[in-house]
Amino acid sequence: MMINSTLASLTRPLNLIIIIFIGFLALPISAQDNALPTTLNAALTIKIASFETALNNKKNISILVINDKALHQQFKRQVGRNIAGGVLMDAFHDSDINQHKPDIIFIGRSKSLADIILYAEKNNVLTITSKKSLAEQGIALALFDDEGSPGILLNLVASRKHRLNWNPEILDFVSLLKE
Amino acid sequence: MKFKNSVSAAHRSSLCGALFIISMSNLILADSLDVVVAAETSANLNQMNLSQLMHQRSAVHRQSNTASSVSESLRDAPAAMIVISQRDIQRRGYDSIDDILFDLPGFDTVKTNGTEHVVSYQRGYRTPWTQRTLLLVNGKIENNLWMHAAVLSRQYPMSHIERIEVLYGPSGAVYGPNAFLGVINIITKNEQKLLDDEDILNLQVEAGSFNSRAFELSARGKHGDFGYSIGARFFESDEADLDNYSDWGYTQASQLSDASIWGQGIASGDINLDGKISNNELFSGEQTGKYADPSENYSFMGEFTWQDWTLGIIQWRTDESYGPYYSFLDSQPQANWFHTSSQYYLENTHQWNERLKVSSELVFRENTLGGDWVESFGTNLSISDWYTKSTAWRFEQQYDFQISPNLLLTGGIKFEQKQLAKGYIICNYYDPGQNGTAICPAQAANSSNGLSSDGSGIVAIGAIALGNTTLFPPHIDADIPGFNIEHTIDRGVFVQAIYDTGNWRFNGSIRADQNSIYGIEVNPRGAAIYQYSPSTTYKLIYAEAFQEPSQKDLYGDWSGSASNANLKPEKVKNLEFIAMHQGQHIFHDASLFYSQYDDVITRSANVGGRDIYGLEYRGRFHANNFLPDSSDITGNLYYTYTKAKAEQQYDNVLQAWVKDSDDQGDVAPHKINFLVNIPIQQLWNANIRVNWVSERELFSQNPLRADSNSARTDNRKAESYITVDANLLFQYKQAQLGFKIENLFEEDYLAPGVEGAGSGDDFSVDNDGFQNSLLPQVNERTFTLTLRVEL
Repeated sequence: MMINSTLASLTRPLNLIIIIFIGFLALPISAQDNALPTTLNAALTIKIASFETALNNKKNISILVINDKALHQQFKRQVGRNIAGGVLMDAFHDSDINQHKPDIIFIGRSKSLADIILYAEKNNVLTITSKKSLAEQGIALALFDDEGSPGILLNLVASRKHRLNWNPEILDFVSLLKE
Repeated sequence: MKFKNSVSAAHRSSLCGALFIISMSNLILADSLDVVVAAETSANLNQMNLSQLMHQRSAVHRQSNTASSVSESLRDAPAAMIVISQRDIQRRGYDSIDDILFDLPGFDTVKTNGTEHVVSYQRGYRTPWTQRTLLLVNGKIENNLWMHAAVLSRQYPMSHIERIEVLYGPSGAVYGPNAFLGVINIITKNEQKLLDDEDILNLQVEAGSFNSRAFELSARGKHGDFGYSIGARFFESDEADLDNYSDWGYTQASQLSDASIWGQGIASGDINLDGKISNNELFSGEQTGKYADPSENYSFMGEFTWQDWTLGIIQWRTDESYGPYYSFLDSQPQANWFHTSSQYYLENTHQWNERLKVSSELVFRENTLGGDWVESFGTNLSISDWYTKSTAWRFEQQYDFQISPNLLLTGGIKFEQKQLAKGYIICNYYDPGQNGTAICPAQAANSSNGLSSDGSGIVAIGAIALGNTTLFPPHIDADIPGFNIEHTIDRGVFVQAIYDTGNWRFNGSIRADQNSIYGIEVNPRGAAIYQYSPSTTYKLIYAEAFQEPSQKDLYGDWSGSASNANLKPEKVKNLEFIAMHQGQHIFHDASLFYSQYDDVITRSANVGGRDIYGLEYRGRFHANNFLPDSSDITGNLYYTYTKAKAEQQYDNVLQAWVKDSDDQGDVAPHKINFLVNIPIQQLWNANIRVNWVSERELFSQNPLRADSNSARTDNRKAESYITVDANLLFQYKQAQLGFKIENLFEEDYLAPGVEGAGSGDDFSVDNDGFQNSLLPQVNERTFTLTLRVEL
């Protein structure tokens, strides 16, 4: 009786739910992006930079943060600290890439993703994102919340295009995206 | 009943004054930089190597403002906290706030399906309703102004929630009054991380057992300096029928149609005995004499931002029947009881420079509650209407000043003007006599004190006949008469210092609150937080808080329920030790606390002290998934031990509080909450929740407890129970389909009654105890189907 009454009560809303659900099957896939806390993103970025050879050879390093004010503030507080082989000289937010010539670009989300990737390829820039889905669109590295702990997804194809040269030790910490 | 909202001239003048202050502070700070001032929390992270960083748990590094009113990580917060994210809400199938409480450590939660849909006691402190935990939405207090209860029902749009932060322990040094046992802060989604000219719309449809259905909307957008965030929910349900509840002798359908109890009119539904059941004889569309429990909730919340300014609204209404809350020999359950809340606010957050941030807010609140009441008391019947409304203006300003990288000073001021109703408006009820505080303007002329019901609505059961039936109450006006309003002024000031040195953080704060009625209360908090290693943190916290006596306790009496205008505020002193350790697979987080309470308020009396000891263990684990291509299995294992002693017990024979140090009751000494989440490849997710609650002694007012009722030999307790809930989630592209089963194994149990819980369990007699001593719970599995889509 209980199940019958439940099924009866579900009937009309259920029809609506099924119709709407089928309608949305036609939409493009959107992976669930679970970002890490800002402090972890900043600390991981600084540590990971030391695994990239070109960055390790630079004395002055700057970071451009796109569309993530809180992370930008976190990097601002780190200015003057050691990063890779040099010192973090500055952190910019949503600024013109060509004006600041950043060594690392951290992308929250961006409408001009293609332009950023093109810039990174031309200028040997490390691109990092907090959105796992953006690694699949050509960002070299994604930092994400993997069921409550940090996860790193390394896009090998993008790394090659950006002419990044990774220390093999990073393989102990990352998942690889090969296509 | 229909009510109108009104904003008086006095309110408008307060608004203008506060707007002026906000505007002036903004002018002074006009030449500013866009830099956020926040506590530095990452010192230890910089010293960790990559391997250590990869073993950190995200949960301990999430930023929160709830504990200290400034952004800090949970690891640095001077309190034990649990955060429930939107992802948790989706995976676990939470479709309302009350769902969440059952899975939390440190909460004893009872689903009453009655006057208050859910009653939850935090940290073992029993109160009539959930009145000592501060419920916030985006930092705005939601507890009812008049009776202080947090209304934990189905009104909030869950899909519009970003996260829910639950804080344990008193926080009077930051929040001022009534942050007594802890804080639940609901934080809604905002537009801050959207791209310019981006809009996101989420829609959610739910359908479930008992003809329950809900629709939700969550929309956000950003266009240049302008942003918006809107959430809304509509919910209605027939609720469970009596067949779906555990058996209890005072909730039998036949009792509702027994003419010897209810008279021929109410028992049949034809109240005026004219041969037909008219619309005016229906309550929530249902006739008397039959069980019905319809519910309807809705809410609307929105924030509109422009540069540093935010204009906001939080508005909701719950309209629900009494379910099995009261004995059917005393009350007809299909009558309705409503709560409404409206908040309108204006906020400004401004950076003066890299070191100083000033935040200002001006808030107007209005709460109403009331409803219909169909009663059989002794040999008399009545149909009465109840209503109360209170309003408040509040202006607060907070200053965050970064003295140095290691020292953050925060200060704040508060000014609040409240217009609080004193007694209820109760019409068509008993004449309370000279000392009664309830009023009824429509019947006042013939009452003994010239203010209240005149007793004309009371009809003897034996006298019911055509031409002498139970009368319907007169219309109640929404405006409270001036003589029944108490105007209060609250002023508050607090200062807080957060200092980091080496692996230590010290957080000290003190707050003074002055109330125009009961004077000044001062509450300190001090915390020492030690990062022993990258994975281990210790905290030692001392905190105090106070709870104002509510207007209901001070003035809200009626025939059969007392009030006491001389009540003193309650006080709590809490000492707590917290240890957190992030292991490779398990995150251990445990609190050991001792709380000392003074001037405990219950049944309109200060009844001495209580001592509560507790251990809360909040373990979280993750393990490799046995399924291929699937993320880790994760879960929670929470354990709560509580020992609550009260200095005074209620003697049910003497009907008075007497000195007798003994168990407080209604709080389970042991509770376990277990949750496991299993991702199934990319598209599916299974979630199982198991809650075990041990047997517990009842509260001393409950006549089933033998040591507080010498007329009874059998000491009845609330039995132990275990419930299992499951949720299966399917996500494909931008749509999610959830299927939730609650009470999977059809556990059959009775929960402790709330308030006076006075019905007893001798079902052969009607002792007019009203609230059931034990509350029937739904003992069958229930189902909910939820669809979410994002556009």
